[in-house]
Amino acid sequence: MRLSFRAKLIALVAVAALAFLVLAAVGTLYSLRVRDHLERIQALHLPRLELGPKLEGQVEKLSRAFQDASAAKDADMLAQTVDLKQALLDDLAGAGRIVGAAEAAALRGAIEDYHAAATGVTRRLIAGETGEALVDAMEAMQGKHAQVTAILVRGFHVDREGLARDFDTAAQEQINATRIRLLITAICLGVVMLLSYLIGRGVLGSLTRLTEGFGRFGQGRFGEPIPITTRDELGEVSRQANQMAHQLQEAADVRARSDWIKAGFAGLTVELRGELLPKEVASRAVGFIARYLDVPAAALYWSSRAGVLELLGHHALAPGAAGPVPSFRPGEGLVGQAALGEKLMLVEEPPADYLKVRSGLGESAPRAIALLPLLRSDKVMGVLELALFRPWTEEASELMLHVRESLAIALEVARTSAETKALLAETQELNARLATQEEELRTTNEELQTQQEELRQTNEELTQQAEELEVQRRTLQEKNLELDDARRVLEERAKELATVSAYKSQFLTNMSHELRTPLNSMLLLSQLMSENEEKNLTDKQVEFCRTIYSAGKDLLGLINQVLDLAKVESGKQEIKIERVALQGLIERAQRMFQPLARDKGLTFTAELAPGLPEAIQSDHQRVEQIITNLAGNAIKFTERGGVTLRISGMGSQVALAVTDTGPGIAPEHQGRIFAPFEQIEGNTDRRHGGTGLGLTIAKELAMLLGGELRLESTMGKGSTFTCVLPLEVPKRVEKVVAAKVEARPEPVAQRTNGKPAPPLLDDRGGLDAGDPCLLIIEDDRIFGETFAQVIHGQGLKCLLAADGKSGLELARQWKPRGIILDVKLPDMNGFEVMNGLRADPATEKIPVHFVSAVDDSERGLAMGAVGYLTKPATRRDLVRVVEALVPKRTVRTTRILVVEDDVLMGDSVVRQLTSEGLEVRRVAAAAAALEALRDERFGCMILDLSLPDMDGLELLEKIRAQSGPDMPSVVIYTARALSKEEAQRLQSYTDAVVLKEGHSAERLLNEVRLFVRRLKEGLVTRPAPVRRLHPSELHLEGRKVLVVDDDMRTMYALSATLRAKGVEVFSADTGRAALEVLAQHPEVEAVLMDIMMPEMDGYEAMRRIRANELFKKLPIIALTAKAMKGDEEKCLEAGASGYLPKPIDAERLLALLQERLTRTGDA
Amino acid sequence: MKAIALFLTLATVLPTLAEERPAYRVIVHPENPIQTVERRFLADAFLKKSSHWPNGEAIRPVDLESESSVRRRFSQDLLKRTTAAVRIYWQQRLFSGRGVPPPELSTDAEVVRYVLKHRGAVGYVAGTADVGGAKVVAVD
Repeated sequence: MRLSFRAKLIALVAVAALAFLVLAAVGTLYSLRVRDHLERIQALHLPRLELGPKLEGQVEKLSRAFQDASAAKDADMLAQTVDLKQALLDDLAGAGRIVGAAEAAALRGAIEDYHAAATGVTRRLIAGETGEALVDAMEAMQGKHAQVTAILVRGFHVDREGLARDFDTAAQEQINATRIRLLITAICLGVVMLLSYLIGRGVLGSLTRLTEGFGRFGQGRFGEPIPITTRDELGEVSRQANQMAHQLQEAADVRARSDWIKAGFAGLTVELRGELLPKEVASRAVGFIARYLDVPAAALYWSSRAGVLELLGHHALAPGAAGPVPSFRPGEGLVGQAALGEKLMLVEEPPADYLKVRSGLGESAPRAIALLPLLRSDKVMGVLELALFRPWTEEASELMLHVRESLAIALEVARTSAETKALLAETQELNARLATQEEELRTTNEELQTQQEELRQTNEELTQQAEELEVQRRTLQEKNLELDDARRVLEERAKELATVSAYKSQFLTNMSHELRTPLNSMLLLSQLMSENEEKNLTDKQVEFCRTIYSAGKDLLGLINQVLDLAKVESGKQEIKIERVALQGLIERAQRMFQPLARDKGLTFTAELAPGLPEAIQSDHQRVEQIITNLAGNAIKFTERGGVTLRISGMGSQVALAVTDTGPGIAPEHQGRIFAPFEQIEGNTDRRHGGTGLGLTIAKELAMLLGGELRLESTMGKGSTFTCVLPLEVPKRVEKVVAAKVEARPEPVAQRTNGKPAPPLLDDRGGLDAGDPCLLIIEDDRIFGETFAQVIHGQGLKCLLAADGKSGLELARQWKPRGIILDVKLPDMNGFEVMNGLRADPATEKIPVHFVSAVDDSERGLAMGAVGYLTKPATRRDLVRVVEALVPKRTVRTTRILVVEDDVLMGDSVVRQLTSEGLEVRRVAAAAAALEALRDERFGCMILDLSLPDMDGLELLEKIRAQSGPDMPSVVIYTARALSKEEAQRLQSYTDAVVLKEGHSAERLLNEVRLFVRRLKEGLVTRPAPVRRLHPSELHLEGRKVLVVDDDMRTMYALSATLRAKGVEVFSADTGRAALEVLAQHPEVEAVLMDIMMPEMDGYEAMRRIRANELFKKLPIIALTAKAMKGDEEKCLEAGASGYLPKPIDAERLLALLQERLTRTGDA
Repeated sequence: MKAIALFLTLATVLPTLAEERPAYRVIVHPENPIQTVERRFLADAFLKKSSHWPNGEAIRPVDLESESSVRRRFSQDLLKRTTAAVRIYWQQRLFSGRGVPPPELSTDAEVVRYVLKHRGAVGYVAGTADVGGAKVVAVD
């Protein structure tokens, strides 16, 4: 391959182009040959295709003409056949060139013959000839016809075989052409591929060698050049690469030498590092150089201060006679000589005995010696001598020249430093001695300083402590002062608050009094007028009076609500926790509001959501008040639709929701709705009466019960007030008086089915006629017996009736002091029983108190009941019921209360008293004693003064405050010696003090017996019950009554009321005036006494009246507007025999008056 | 009534008369072994669609002249076409070289002579004519 790439590629293309040319030529040649064949076919065969059938058709036409002529037997027609024959011959004239002249002539002759024969036969036929001769002529004519046909078939029809042959030949030519083209194409392809392969193989080989060569160069193997096998472009590349490798090799060599020199220099520097003596420097330097240059022996001479070159270090030289010369002078010997010059001195081939390098195996002379003067600042400082076995190299001398100055410097430094060191050592010794002395002095000094510092610190601490103490003292003083101030301010505030509160309380009391007083007269008079007894008023006027009366009633309701609110707000409202049945609330609400809603055309539904507890622990009365306020409000403001009360659960709370379809409350008013005296102005226009206090009170009550009141409202759609109450009122409400809810055990009798009910446990057996007793008509056995216990606790006996009928019988038989009546009874209801009692003269005056779960107090009171208690009731409620029926004063009991903390002593006293037939109750503490006295009745109390929880005297004071005139007699039984003062104080409570000693038990018993006897002798006759009387029953004509009141309106109203009944009325405007009137008119039969009066109030007046022996039994009825707790007690204490709160219900007043007057008359 | 009765009588009697006295008789050369000949074979022979007897002898038919009543009857009965139609048939074949008609002879005697002369000949003569030595064959 001597050709370049370009030449090869051109050759390749040329071959390919040649191949294409050959192909084209062969193709053209064969195409021409095929065309020749086809032309032959066209010229030879195609005209026959036309001519043969044409001539046949004409011959056919000729025979038909003969046929027609013979058929028609027409000679003229026969003549026409000549024309046909001539036309046929004319056509045949051009056929010579197609079928050859011989064939054409033969056909012409045959046609002429046929025509002649046919003409003959036809003529004979036309002539009518028959017979065998004619048939022979016919056969001859047919022979001619057959001849014509034969010539036509032979010469004038297409030569099918010739045609097929010619076509085959043309096709064969075509196939041959294709084959030859294929062959040429294949050969050309082969040649091109072979050429390509050969060229490619050469290029690839070159490239591979190039790649390998570059790889070697990359690894640094420059010594092996790339072999150049071709002279083409790749060969040129290889050659250039080899040249490059050569240059790289040279550069690497230079660098290696430089590295070697640098490494030697650096090695020597490392070797000479540190503080070394000159001898050490010399020997290390010589050793290193010998090793590095690979020389067998070396020596270093160094010029001393005297200028003599001395042997300072050597390598591989044995000492001794044959060893190195210890010193040279400059110019002496080779060494000295070298020291004179500056250049490296090389001595080739020294004499054999010049120097021997010795080893353990033998000795040899070096091949050369090199002497290198060591220069420093161009001054020869020493000489390095090297013995050589190998030829000295350029590198070595370069290294040596490089090294010699630094070596000289190192030696110089080492020498200088050695000298310095020697001087330093001397100085150090002196210093050390000085330092020792100084140290001793310093130590002494330090000790002194330390002591002084300690003293100073102690002093400072003391000062600081003193200062801190001072600061603390001052701070304390300031704080104390501040605390004092704060305390004083607080005290003042507390006082102010107390004063304000008192003022407020007082204000409310007075205010309500001032309001009630005029209201009182208004109510009385309007009621009186509306009765129109004198028949002098028109119906309209009566109606006006009624309106005045009902307006007054509303006003009274408002005042009561204001009072309620004030009480709630001041926290004076007491709540009592009891079981509140939710179903009961629902029923009560339905009863109360369904009629109201119906009257207004509204619906009222109350429903209880499922899944609620049966009851909650709360204040029944308050909860009902909330519902009443909310529902009442809702009905009042709703015009259409209805009101719904729904009780549902909200977690651990109960929600009482009242929903109405009223006008709704705008969001901006929703906050104000709970403020007192608020009604929404505008759309409601205050057209509904009412105070606007209902919601406020409901809200306050809800808060009092530990709950809250919420409002949701949409204008025009309605409102929902939701009172959320806890299942149990939280304990934080301090004023809660935990009501002792009667624990009702399960009714055993009802549970054990089939067993007859045990007989009622009452006092029927041990009851004497005249013993004070109460009758309970109650079907709930457990409740009845509980009630019986309470009655026993009051020192009274009791009877139990389980139904109305037996109740009526017992009442007739025993004439009890009072009757407790249930409304729901098995045989008749309580109201019927009440009617039955009233119908019988024997029982008509027995006071009746209803106790029922059915709240129909209005009906009950209207029937003349003393009171109406709604179940569930507390023990206190029951006590009140008993009190209402049988006031304490009216019945004294012999029950004895022993207050004694010593168990033994107490037991013995109780035993003694019980053996005397007395009923005894023992308590151990003062608190228990107070409770017992509140809930039960006792004739006498035996009191030990030393009690664990309260002093005896204090207890007595409390008892008096609690019980007032009902306080039992007291016998003091104590082991304590009493002081004179104590004895005096006790005098006001008791008339007997028994000291615990020897026979004291006996004396105590005597005292008790005395008391019991006195008690029995002084039994008070029982009072007739207060009852309402029908106006027609009143018999007050001619009675004289004194009315005492400072308010002229009340005075007038009362006087008018009384005069209307025929009473003679005296009047007085102050207590003092009343006394004067009484003095002038001792015939006065009763007094109506106002309490709040100027000059002398009602209490004082009554006391003075009672002070007069004449008026001890005069009935005095106290009238007061202060419908506050304790009023009644105070009045009775002052000597009143009756009490009526203002505003005064005229009927009640008259009934009471009648009763009092009747009683005094009887007495 | 009489006319109808006569027509009925003629209708029943005439065919009987014709059978007893045929209008023509088919004759062949006495040496021809054939006794009866099928009508279709005879028709094909006279139209030269068949060319040989069963024994291999070439058929040579011969006609009476075209005006002869016997020929008319024969054409009608055996060839099932008129004499004119037969003539046109032969004119078409004659000039196109496809065949020549049988010779037409004027009398029964000439026909008998022609039959006796040619061994493969076949002809027909009137029922009353003397057939000489020719062999009469029944047409089946």
